[in-house]
Amino acid sequence: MNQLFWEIIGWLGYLQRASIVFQLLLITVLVTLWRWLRKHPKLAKVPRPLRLLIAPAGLGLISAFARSLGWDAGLLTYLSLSWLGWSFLSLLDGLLQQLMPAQRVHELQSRLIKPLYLIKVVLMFINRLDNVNDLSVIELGQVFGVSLTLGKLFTSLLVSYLLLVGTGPPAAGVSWLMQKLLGYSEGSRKAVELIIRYVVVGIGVTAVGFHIGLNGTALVAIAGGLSVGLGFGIKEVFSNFISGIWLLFEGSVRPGEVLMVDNDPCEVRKLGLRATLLWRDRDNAELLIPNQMFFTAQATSYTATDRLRRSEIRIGAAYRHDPRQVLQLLEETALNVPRVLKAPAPRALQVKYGDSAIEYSLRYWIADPMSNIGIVSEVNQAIWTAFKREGIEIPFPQQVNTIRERPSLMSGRDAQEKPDKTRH
Amino acid sequence: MLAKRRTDQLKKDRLTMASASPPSIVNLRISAGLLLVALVLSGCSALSGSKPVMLYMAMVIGKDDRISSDTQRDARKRVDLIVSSFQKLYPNVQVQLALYQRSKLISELRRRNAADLGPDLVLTDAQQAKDLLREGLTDPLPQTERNTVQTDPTLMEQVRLTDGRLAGQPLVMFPQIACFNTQVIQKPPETLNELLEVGAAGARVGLPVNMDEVLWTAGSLNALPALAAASRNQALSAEERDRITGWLTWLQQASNQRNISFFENQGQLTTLLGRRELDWISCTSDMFFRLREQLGDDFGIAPLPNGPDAPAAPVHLLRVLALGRDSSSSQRSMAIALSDYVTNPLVQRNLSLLSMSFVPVNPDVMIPTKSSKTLASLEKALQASQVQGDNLNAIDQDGPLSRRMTNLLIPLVFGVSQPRTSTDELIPILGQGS
Repeated sequence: MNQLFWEIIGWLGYLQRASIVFQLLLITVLVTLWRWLRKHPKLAKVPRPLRLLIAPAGLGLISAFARSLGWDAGLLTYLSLSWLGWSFLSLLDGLLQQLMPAQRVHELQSRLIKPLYLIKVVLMFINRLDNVNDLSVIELGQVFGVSLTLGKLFTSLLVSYLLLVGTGPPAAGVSWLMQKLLGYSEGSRKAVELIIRYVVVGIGVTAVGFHIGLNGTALVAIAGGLSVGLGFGIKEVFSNFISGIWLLFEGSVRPGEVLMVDNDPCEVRKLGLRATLLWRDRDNAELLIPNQMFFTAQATSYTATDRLRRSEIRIGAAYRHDPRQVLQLLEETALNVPRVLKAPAPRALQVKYGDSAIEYSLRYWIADPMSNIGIVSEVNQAIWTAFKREGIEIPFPQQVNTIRERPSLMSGRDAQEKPDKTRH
Repeated sequence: MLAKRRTDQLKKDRLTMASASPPSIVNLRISAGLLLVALVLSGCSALSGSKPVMLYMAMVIGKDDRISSDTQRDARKRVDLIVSSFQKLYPNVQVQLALYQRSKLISELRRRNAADLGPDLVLTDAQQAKDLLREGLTDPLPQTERNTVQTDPTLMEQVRLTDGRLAGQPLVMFPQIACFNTQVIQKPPETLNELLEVGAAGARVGLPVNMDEVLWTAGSLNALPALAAASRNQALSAEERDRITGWLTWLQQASNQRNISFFENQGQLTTLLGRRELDWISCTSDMFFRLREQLGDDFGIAPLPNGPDAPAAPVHLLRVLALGRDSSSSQRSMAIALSDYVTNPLVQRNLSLLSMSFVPVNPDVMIPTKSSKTLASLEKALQASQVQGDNLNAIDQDGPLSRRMTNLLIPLVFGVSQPRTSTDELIPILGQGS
């Protein structure tokens, strides 16, 4: 570790070279100037692709001019080329968006392409200050009796990151292919995708362990340490992780499933390592619920065996209407609503003689459990229209209060002796 | 009413703060920048008496050897031997070392120089130092009286280009020698026949297939004059052709022996001897540090085995210190001072005794052979090569021709091609070097 520290400190020695100091100062001035200039309203009118290229191209021109004067401008050239590369990556956004959704492009750029580019540029710069291969064999210390070098640590971290971030698209591709071959549902496809990712990440992490040089004894030691850790700090994390895998295999909480959470239907969007992401239609909220909640608590699903949902509307009609006519009208009305399924057929029931109306229940089936509230609205509108057309009254509660006699004013003592009979 | 006024005042304050925040951040940055500059300037003025000088040194490790923690430790130890004594004279000098594989040095230096971040010193072999100067990746070494006097003139000629420029300062010479495990081999073989006998007795012998590293066997089998003649484009007699064929036949027969194996290069051989997977190898003395560390008291060295008619022709490694291109004036003057310092007789003698792995380049330094068996063996190896010196110099040992010759030897040692046909193919390749 000390060696690495002194190597890095040693790079400051390049500041002894006047050409390096001059270039660094020039870069600082130019970058500051650009930060000031880019706020200018006229620049905002320049198309974005062109605007992105102005600064690096300008830096490149300045470095070329400096070279033509016989000055050292290598650092300037390096920076301008790196900046140019970065700008091209930003321009790549538009092209990629033609191939995939904007959200995916953003994820790809911010999680994979840009970080990798930055790492590459930094490594190339370090390779100009020193030799990366030489630095990579610097020993940082011992891990379970195995000497850990800077290179091993770096590649392990990089590979682990790539495994976590970069395995998504290939896993999606394989699961899509399997879906085409085996014909399983969309939810199963997403589950298979996740399982493939977990398997690849698991194998990758083991490979990283072997790359570092960990042997069986070391792995046992790690497992021992983990078991202690599980007992104390990371019990919840591990419990959520295992619950997630279990739920995936069980198939009850797969992406695309609809579950009731606090009496609201929510669609499972993503089953993560720690928590499940659900989407609630009512307010477009995304809920992050720890996996173990589904594992230990009761959950209501509308998609466990099929995606049908039975919905119900209660309505009252005046006593003067023939219940048989009302029941028939309700069933016909429901059948005419496009999103209500014809089979199983809607069913109307006479459920109660109420205070001011006879209560009926209309039960019907829908294909998309998430659309329930919208379909309820459509059916209610259709019922109102049908009742109006057929002259069926939807009565509102009416109460008639009759005062039989005016209570007389009496003294308190008389009042006790003669209690008010009307109260009985 | 009072509450409303207070709220208004608060709003006003907030507005004032918001409008003032960007300039205050800029002011803060400017102040921090000025403070930093002041600190740097004050630091520089405080150090002006002995301004620290950082020298960046690019060093080539053994030919095509892989950079590992072992090679790094080994290289740092060797450079520390020089630097620590140099720091007694110039305590303000620090040297930062970067190791490179020989085959990658030129491309890496090209990149570093392009960014104006090239090293101040390059420590490599004579041949590569000349290539670097030809390509403009290093600057020529100014010829001083000191380096003329303190360096063997024949070695100086090895680093001089045809236009008279010096590619670098010869630093040390690492002779090619036999390294072995004394626990397995008590008496090292002195002839090639003895080497075969050692192999037959059960010792695991490793030989390199690289042309320049296996050329010493051509000396032992008296094929070197014929190879040199072919390199000079001279017509070869039938006897000379037979000599070359005899050498190639020996290589093939040796490869057929159960315990004699050919490997890509001496770097691999050294690694395997260090791991005790081989018992006898040919190596250069720059590997001694590592082998001593790995084998301890079991590490033994001896001159390479001679043949029935001629001595072995070891190819020595001349280490050269070349000057980088991007140095500041203080770095350049210190780099030259270091290159002068390393040829100082006292330094060369001390380093030779301390490292026990190289031969000095200063002709005035006598190798204390009586005080050390190792140095005596190195001295013997050096004398052997001087016998074959002219012939060795005639043969291309590093360029593309050497690689083509190596490619010819690989099928031969694995029994795919025959010695006679290999001779017919080898002679024209040698001739292209003249």
